[in-house]
Amino acid sequence: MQLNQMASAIRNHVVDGLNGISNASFSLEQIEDEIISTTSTLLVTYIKQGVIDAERLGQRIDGIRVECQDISSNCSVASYVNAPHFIIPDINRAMADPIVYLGTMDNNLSIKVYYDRDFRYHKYRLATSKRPFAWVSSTPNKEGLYDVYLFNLGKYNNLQFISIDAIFDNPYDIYKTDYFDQFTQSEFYAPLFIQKEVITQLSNEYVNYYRKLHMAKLPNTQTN
Amino acid sequence: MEQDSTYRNTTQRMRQDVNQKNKSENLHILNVRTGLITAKTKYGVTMDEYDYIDIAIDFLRDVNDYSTGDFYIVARSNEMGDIPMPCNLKTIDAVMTRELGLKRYSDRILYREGNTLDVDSAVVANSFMNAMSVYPDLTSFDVFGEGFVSYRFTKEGKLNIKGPGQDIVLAYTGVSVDEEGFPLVTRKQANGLAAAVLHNRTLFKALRGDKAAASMIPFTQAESGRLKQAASIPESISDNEFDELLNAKTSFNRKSHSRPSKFSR
Repeated sequence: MQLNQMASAIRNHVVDGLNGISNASFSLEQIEDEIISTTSTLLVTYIKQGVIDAERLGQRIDGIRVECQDISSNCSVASYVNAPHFIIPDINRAMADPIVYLGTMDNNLSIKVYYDRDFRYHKYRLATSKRPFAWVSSTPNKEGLYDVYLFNLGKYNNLQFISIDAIFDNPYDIYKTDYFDQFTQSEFYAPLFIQKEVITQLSNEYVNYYRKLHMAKLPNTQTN
Repeated sequence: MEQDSTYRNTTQRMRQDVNQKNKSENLHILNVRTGLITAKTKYGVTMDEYDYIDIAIDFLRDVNDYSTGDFYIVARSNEMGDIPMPCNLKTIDAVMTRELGLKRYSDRILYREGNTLDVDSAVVANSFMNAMSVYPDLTSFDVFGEGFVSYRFTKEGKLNIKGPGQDIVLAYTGVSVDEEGFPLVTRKQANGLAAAVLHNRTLFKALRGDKAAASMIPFTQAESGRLKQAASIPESISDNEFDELLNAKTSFNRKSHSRPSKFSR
């Protein structure tokens, strides 16, 4: 199903469920936003339960351009550490490893990813201290996207393009990047059983929420 | 063209046969990452590749059953006369001048530049430093003979020859490593590594409050311990055979007399 089809399905359920109780109207945009946030929550739950494998749900972006940039997020204060850099939409940080693969497009080199400042200790690793690593910034930049810096690239220092497989918090944010044409709306990004779960959960939430408001019953005008 | 293709197929088949034979003989021919994919196949668990390699190197250090090979490097000493030692070095066989060294040792494996097994270089440096403090004489070798070069070890774990800018050949026995500098492993070590991954992941989940994972810890601990112990025994002499040898000496009042006391293979 597509995102708008799911939103329509939920709205139909809710309107039918509240028929005779409320004539509240629901905007499709709001429901679409809630579908994405509910999907994110459900993915975390099911992956933690071991029902689905996170590695099979990653959104792939190939050919991300890498350019050098100072690692300071403050434009007026430089850290004087320039590192190869690129930007991505926010990842699902509730998961243990939201970035399933980060490396060269030919899959020959995978890069260790740090989601926090633990990258400071990379140089003390037992056997992989000289191998490359990446740091994903935990705060968005002015474009609302997240900075990723690469270190220790060694012989890959002239790397110009990179590939990533990740579970993004909102995959539709890929439209904010230059790589939007690699993301399609022709199908929703989560499996069908997650789609069904999202529709059921959101429909229930809406119906129960409005029922609990104890709205006064409207007269049955036989118009619906 | 057809002949080429037949030749290629035959060669490929022969190579596969050799690999199969080596695998069945449990030789060190597998990449260290085999344990990671074995964990996925056997137990359905996986982990970050870098974390896995760190755990694997630690595991292999405990198991201490490395495959060794005959290597050589060609190097030039710096202005201090120092030469960094290759990271997979175990014992030095000879240090010779470039011309005579190549003539004598070029049939060995040339250790490729850029291969690093950091943990090994640290261990080499540490062991030489210990040796220097206990037996200072053992860290310096004055050799005589045509083409041989005298050398000593520095505190930094480097090889020092007296002449700066001198080309030498260092022939040595080293750990067999892949192109990235990680040691090759046997089938049993891969299985042991897979169980170590399983145990690590189970602990990880249990410490975060997963009760089902916590209930599995006794199993994973026993499984990883058992396979680690099995991995440390070369296939040519099995644990049971070791046990029988021990029984021959200590059969008097030994409870496990004439039957295996430990799992093997």
